[in-house]
Amino acid sequence: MTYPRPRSGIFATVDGIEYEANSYPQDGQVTLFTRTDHNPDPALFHWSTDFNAWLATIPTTRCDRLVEVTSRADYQGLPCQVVNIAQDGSTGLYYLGDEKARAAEAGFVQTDPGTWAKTVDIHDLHRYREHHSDLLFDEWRQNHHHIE
Amino acid sequence: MTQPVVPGSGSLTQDERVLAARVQGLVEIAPDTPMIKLLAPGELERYLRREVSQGEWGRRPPFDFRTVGGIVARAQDTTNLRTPVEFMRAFRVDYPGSPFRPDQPVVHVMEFLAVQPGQFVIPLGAPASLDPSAGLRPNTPAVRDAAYAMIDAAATAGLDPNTYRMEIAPWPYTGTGVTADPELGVPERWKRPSTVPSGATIFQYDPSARKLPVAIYRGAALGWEQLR
Repeated sequence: MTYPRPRSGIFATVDGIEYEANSYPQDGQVTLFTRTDHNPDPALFHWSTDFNAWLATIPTTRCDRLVEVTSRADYQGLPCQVVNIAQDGSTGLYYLGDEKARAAEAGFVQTDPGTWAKTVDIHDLHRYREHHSDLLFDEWRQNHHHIE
Repeated sequence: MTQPVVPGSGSLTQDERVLAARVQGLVEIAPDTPMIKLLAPGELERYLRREVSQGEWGRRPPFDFRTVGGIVARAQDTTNLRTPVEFMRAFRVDYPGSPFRPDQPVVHVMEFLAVQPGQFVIPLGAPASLDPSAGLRPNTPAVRDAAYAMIDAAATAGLDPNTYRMEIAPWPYTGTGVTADPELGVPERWKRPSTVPSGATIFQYDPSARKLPVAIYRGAALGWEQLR
């Protein structure tokens, strides 16, 4: 099992293959990058010495899918974002819920305004899942369900 | 027995809550709206070294250099803030356990475009206290009643339900959508921790009101570039 956990970032699927995006799409374009040994698709990618990576800037219409991924889990019944998991199982969490006073009672600490965080043991996580926010939904809706 | 008085939204009449909610409806966020986030001491360095860390309980919080979240504000609502003290007052960083110090020489502020307006919600509700002697623990009826009254006010004011959520958090959270400083308070939004947009810039403010750019985000592939 080589799938990385937790994942965070923007990911595009093009011709059935998933690539990481450098940032959100802008003006209908998105820049993808990969640091594989070989060019994964010479029709799309070129080598960038600035990025030290294979780069492809493509129209979002070329993407089968474009999503922002965050990893989530529940801790003591509290919805959290998983920031990182270390080799020893210690896991960094941000609290996502609306009862911050309750999170404080569960040991979360406000680390900057509005950010409540705690480092816990991986075995205390429940319902680990990836959250995918569809960045092409508005565009798709406009094209397929246009309001007259 | 006398009921403890809930500060913030709890100290308002229902008409005042409706007015406060109506004002929030005027604070619009579009994809190209510049937003700001006051960074805690040490976060600039963690962004610059591309840190992704699980943290260590009680010593160092988790961190991801690709992420920004928590309480933020529109840049246009903070143009009167120019010194570290003003930023720290406006965002009421005097909460229990705060890493901010009133005498710190500089503060760092990230400016970024909203890009995804749906990531921002108005925190409406009421403040609680974790100190049992205050009688305002999160589950007390006084706190709950004040929080629900604020949500009722938002509905009365016609706020889009997708733009706010009920929150109960420790004071100095107010529950009104505005931070607690009576002079420098700003309309606040809670941003789900999510991707820093490319082009985001971190500025340093010093006591003489100088604003210096110190880092710019080049995206997930390159991370943060130090500017000086």
